[in-house]
Amino acid sequence: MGLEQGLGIIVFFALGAIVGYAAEFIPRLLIKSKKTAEKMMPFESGEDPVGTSRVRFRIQYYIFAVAFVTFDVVAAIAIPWAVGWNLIVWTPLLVLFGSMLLVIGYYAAKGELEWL
Amino acid sequence: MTGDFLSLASVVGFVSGNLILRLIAVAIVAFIVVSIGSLIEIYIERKFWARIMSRYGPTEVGRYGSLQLFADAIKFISKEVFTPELADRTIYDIVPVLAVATSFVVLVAIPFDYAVSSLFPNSFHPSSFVISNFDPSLLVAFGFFAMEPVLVLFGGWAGGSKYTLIGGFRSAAQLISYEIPLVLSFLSVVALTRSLNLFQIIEVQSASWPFLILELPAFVLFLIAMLAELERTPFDLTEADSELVAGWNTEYGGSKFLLVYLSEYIRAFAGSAIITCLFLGGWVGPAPIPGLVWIFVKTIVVFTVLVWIRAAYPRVRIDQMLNLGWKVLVPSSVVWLVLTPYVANFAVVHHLLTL
Repeated sequence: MGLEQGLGIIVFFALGAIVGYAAEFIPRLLIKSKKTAEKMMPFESGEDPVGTSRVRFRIQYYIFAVAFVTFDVVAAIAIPWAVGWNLIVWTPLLVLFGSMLLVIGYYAAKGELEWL
Repeated sequence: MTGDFLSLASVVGFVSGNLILRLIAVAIVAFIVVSIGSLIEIYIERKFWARIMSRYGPTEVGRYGSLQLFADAIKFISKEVFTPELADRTIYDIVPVLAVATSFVVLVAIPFDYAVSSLFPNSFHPSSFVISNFDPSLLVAFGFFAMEPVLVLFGGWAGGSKYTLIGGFRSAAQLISYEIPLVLSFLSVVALTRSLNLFQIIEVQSASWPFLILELPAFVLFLIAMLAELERTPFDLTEADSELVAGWNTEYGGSKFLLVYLSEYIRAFAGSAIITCLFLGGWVGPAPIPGLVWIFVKTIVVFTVLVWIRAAYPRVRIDQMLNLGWKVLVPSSVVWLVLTPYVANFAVVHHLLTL
């Protein structure tokens, strides 16, 4: 990847952001907003919201996040292997894949991957 | 001002001489392609889906409801813009813009620019308007594809409603669960061609059998993972209407909702285009029709299949979805990835593939 592609990514991002920004902020100049208490309330099917909206959430999301981070490293290590599998030794990758499957099996056997 | 100065060839020559102007030209072309693509997609989504369910779909605006999308866009843009009281204003405002921008960057890596510039005669130096031909283009595409969970979490948290928060966390759990099978199944195509460049993958494919046949298990795994990544039924738990109103974008209205919706369809278009390039041969086709037509039509056909799946299958439960992702897709994509070198050797020996 050279300078051209790096700049290309920036130009694409800038074009997308400009279009998005224009679509979001130009209507703001043209249309007058009338704020009412009901309108500014979070949507809960017309009921008055109870308590804070930043509720506590399940710890299980954290387990999935940790599993994702760990196994994504394995996937990232598999990328150079996939490009040059005919040139390099396979053993480390096979060990990594085997341990990943073992860990998933352990998780599954312990019931951590079940959604409660 | 002579006529020569204004001739198309000289304008093209001037633009291609300047790097930034050239990149802007490519980006605008990509934007036009993706806008047309998204319009066709949304029309197919509404009309084809409706026909499967024995409904009519849009009929009122324009012939066969073809102008309904423009009417909707005008309605969204002319709506009042406001930020709910409990929302985190900065993040709430910036997430839709970032969603559109990051989904649009995925198109850098997809060779639509090559397909467009090969339409024009040689005097315009077609290859000088191609930027998608670089080495880890697949990684760039999936890198920006993987920005979605972060934006979904931010948007869900910033909306300031319980539905958006829970929807955001659910979306993130789904997106990260299917990220790994997605990566591992496209890696088996990479292992077959030994290249991370979509351009080279298509070129190898043009001299061999389509990878849809050589890599059928990877195609099935990739299609399922892609369905989940695009948050489409049967994996649309992120906006399961009966449970979460509209998921993480419940609090977005007016032009912000338009942006969220647009980014969803840009992602769907980019995802279908990646499937087309990886498994269906990209711009290559059996008949002498311009490459742009081939790649565009194939992308739209892939998207139509996704809509068909959406119409035909019910939504899975969240525990079924996570089980499928972790216990079925990850192990099978690992096994197929390790088997792929043997498939490659077999294909090379039997002249199904030339490297």
